[in-house]
Amino acid sequence: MARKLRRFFHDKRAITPVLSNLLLMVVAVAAMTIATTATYVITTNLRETMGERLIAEDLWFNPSGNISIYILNVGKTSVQVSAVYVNHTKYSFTPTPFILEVSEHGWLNISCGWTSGSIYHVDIVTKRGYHVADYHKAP
Amino acid sequence: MLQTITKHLKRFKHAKRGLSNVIVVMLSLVILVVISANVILWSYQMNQLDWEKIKENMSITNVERVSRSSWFVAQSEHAVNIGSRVSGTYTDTQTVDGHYERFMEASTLPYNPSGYILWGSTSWVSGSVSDLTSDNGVYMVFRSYASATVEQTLYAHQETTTIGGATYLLQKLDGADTAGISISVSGASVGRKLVGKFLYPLTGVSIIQARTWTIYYRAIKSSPALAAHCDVDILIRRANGTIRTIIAIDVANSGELTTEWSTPSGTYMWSAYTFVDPTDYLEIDYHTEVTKSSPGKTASLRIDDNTLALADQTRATNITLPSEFTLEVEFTGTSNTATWTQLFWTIDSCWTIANVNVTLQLYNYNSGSYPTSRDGYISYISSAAPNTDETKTQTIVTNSTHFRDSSGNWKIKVKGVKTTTTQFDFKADWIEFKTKTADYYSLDIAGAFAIDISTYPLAYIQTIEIQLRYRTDDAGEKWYLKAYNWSSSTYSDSGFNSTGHTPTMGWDYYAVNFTDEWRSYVKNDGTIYVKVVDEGADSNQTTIDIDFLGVRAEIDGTRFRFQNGGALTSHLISLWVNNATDHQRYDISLFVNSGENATYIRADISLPTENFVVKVVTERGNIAVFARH
Repeated sequence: MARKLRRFFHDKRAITPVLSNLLLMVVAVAAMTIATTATYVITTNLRETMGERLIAEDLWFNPSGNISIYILNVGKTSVQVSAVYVNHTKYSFTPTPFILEVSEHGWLNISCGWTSGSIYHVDIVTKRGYHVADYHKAP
Repeated sequence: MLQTITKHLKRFKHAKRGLSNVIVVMLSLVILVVISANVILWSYQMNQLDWEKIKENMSITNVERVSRSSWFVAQSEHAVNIGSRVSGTYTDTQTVDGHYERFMEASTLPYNPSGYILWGSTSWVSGSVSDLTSDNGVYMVFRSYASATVEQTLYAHQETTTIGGATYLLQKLDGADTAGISISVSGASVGRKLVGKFLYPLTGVSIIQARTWTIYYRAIKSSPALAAHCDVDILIRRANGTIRTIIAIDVANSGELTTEWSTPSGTYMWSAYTFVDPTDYLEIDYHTEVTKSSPGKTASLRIDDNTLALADQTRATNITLPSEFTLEVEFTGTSNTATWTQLFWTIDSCWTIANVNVTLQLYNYNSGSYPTSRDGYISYISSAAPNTDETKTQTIVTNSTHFRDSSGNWKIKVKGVKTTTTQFDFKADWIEFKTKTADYYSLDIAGAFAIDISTYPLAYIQTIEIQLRYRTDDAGEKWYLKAYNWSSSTYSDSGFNSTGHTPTMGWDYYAVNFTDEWRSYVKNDGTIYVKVVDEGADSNQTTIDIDFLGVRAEIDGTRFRFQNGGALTSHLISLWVNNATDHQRYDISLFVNSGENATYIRADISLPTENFVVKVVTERGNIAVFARH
């Protein structure tokens, strides 16, 4: 028994091909896994970007002096508003973060004053780059 | 062909590069699937969404204030309580169109009890006299009382009951009904040893009279070296398991037990005890008292052994318990004082026990007593199946006015007697006292109406309006609209802005509203019961034609009209009503088919008095606007 074990450990033949094949297999599987994961991540991001749809149900130059927009998510993925531009100037807004799941809706209050009779270009930008923009005349 | 395939397969089998090619192709396919699923299919879906949005064409054609709902009319036939239907159906009363339903007054006037009087120790259980107006399975329930007692025997049984979380053995009026068991106690030490606690429910028992009880014990001891006898504790236990009172401890001592089965006895002088709660139990705790111990020896009590003669069974005798129960209740009511040609009286009821001797009597004011035969007297044995409704009726032709007093009052007595040890209930479903006169006509019809509270929530209703379009052939009699008052459980016109209408013998409109009392007349689910009744019985047999009868709600709401000019069905999900000072959003859910118009009423939206803009938003993200300046 001991003699057989000794012979097995001193036998140099066939070890190298086995190891090289195993190594090659591990490298191949790892490479394909990385490729598949990368593809999935990239395409998922692409899919979510394509699935974004927002509408502004209502824009209200409210008497408190701010502009409020009622946003409805009509797309197929949740959205997060990342920036609001009024006349191409960025303004802060509440609530933050402003996240709407699919079919959700809510008021977005822009910390921006308004003057009666003026024209305002309001642009809502999401985190993935979707825009909802329109001109509005203050009453 | 086959050769070619075989050749390709052989080449494939011998090709060393085939396996890696397959793996590469498979993995590439996985990547392609991910790309096509995430990008191409999604792109297709979003394109479709955009395309559908473009195809949508929703518009608001009108927005207007509404102060009344549409009419809600009868959806089932009107109930004719007094009178008869001559022609037409309830559908003829749904629109003003000259098609009418005709009713005629009748001289048969039904009455139901307005009160009741309990006789003896009969008790009321549930329900009210308003449950006696129809044969509808809604009962007024009364409970019988023990009207006779007899000395009885309670046999110890091995069946058990659980009260208050503890298990007790039962005592029954019947002898043993099983093969029996022996309950042994150890004779290793002296002292009283509990054999078992036995309960008997005292339902319907108000008092157990003073008697000398004899307790018999079927018992044995296993050795002459052991000295033991039996005795009992007696107590009253509440239904929750706690002790109400202890009557006696260590009484009814038997003689010395023997090494052979025997039935020694002991006596106890029971004093009269009045029970405070009919749910209490009489408990007898059987004990064996070892007076001289013997290790390893036992004393046993045998119970529920049906191989033994009754005289040899473990039991308590001479206990006065109910042997008969009786129920007596008198129902009273009012009627009219016209000249009756016939009198019908009917009782529909059931009993919770079989074969009750029942007597129904209608009071004879002429003789000043309840009849014991013929007119005004019905006697029967109730159904062998408990809780089976039975209708008993009698028609009185001769001297029918003897069964009322000068004011038209009447009374009916129901008596049920049964020899039993079980208390029972009487369940009255319908009691009617109906008179027929030669020239005394009246009409009473009722209909059910339902306000659509999903469109007109009760919170936004200001009042309710009833409208009747009718024609009669008698201008001398007024007509009334009444509604069921859910608070007082009666038909009433209290709080109505108008009570009574005199007809012109042509087509007349009679409209009433409930003013601010309307909430009492509308059930929470929007149901309203409306009655049309005449002024009262008179000598003319009037005919009334009803062309329209309906109810509607007064509101301060808004009606929207939408038009879908697109090729797809649109789902409207929100509505905006904006003015200079407020932008108000309302959730809605309304589907409008392609090419169709839709009317949408909201009782909770009150239009601004000044300029306003109304917007409706579709699920796909389109917005239609209506402005009034």
